Amino acid sequence: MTPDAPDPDMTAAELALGLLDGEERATALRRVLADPDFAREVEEWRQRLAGLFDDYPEVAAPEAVAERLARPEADSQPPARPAFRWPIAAMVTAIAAMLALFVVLQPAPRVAGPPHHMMVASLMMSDKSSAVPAMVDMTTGEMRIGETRMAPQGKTAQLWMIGGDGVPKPMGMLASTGPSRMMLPMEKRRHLQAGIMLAVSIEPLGGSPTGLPTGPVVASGKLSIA
Amino acid sequence: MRQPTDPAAARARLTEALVRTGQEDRAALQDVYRLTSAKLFGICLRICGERSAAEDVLHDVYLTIWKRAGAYEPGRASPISWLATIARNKAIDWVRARGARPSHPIEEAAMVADTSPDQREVAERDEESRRLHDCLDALDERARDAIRTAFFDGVTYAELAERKNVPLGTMKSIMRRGLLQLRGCVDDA
Repeated sequence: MTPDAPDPDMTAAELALGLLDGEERATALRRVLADPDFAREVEEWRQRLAGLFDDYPEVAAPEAVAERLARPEADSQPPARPAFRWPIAAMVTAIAAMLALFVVLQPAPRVAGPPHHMMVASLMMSDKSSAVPAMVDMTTGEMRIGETRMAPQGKTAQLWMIGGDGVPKPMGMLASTGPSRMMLPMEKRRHLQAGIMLAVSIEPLGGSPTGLPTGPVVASGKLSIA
Repeated sequence: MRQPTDPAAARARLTEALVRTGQEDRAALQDVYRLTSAKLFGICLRICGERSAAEDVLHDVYLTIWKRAGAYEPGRASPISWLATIARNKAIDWVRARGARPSHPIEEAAMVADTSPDQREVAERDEESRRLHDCLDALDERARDAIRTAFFDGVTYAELAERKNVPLGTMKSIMRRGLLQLRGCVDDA
């Protein structure tokens, strides 16, 4: 080994491991957003290293945690302890992005009027040939999309929501035959408002591996109140 | 006493519970908890180094799982890896937000078991995990130790260099060369 040779660039692994801090980390996180190849590398490292989770010892969790989770208002803080105040910078980790769980911190959406029950969008194909109806029942979280065959064999059509911050958030896969039906959990439903854009991209089977669209956008439309 | 589990069946059971959790099935979240809380608590304890903090982080981890389970796509990552990564990240966020690593009083240290596995754990490893462990064993000891410490304790380069009493630049070199070799071994089909 030549001592003078420069170190190999292992930034993706370093990010996956959590070795980076401060400015180096911020730069790597920005790169995850901007560079899908880098994002995929980080995801690959996460998968390579996942076998090490086997080596963490199991320790029985205290009953108190199960009890807190079983309560209906599970978001309540424990009584005797101060609520955590986590600095914003600490909350955004690239690994979360790799899991397509991408919590981008943004101010809570402002709902201008009373809550609406039904929202609709018309997803217009990029070639303007046709449009596919989409509908969300805001009380149950059920989203329905009309029958459509957007993805060729061996690919999946993936639905995204693009909010005020311009960052696509994955909503689910479209069915390959017949209408699509998906249940949107509260976390996704929360962001849906009039004016929000929905888009469909063509991804590998199982969806984008990076948490951001990697294929062409073939349809899009704006949500409005029904 | 733990029953020996068929790894494939255990994985299928967890995947199913996680998918149902993503459909806002509250009972399914309890199933996920029952199946995984010991592993995730082990992770939080190891990284946080304090029992009360680990409890709070664990609670937060399952709230996060509840919110994000809808985004879990079976087949993309193993369910336990997906869950364990959330736990590891949350624990690391907690440590970094705190500023300084907690000191390790004797009782806490005793609580946080060593990460060398017992026979059963070794037997239950899947093929990828076995390959990873074999490839880690092929590295020189300093590289293997650096990678393992980084993974298990969620430390930064600066903290790692200090722990191993090695200059920062040297630690980075050891790590990067080790990772390169590890990738070459693991990916070699």
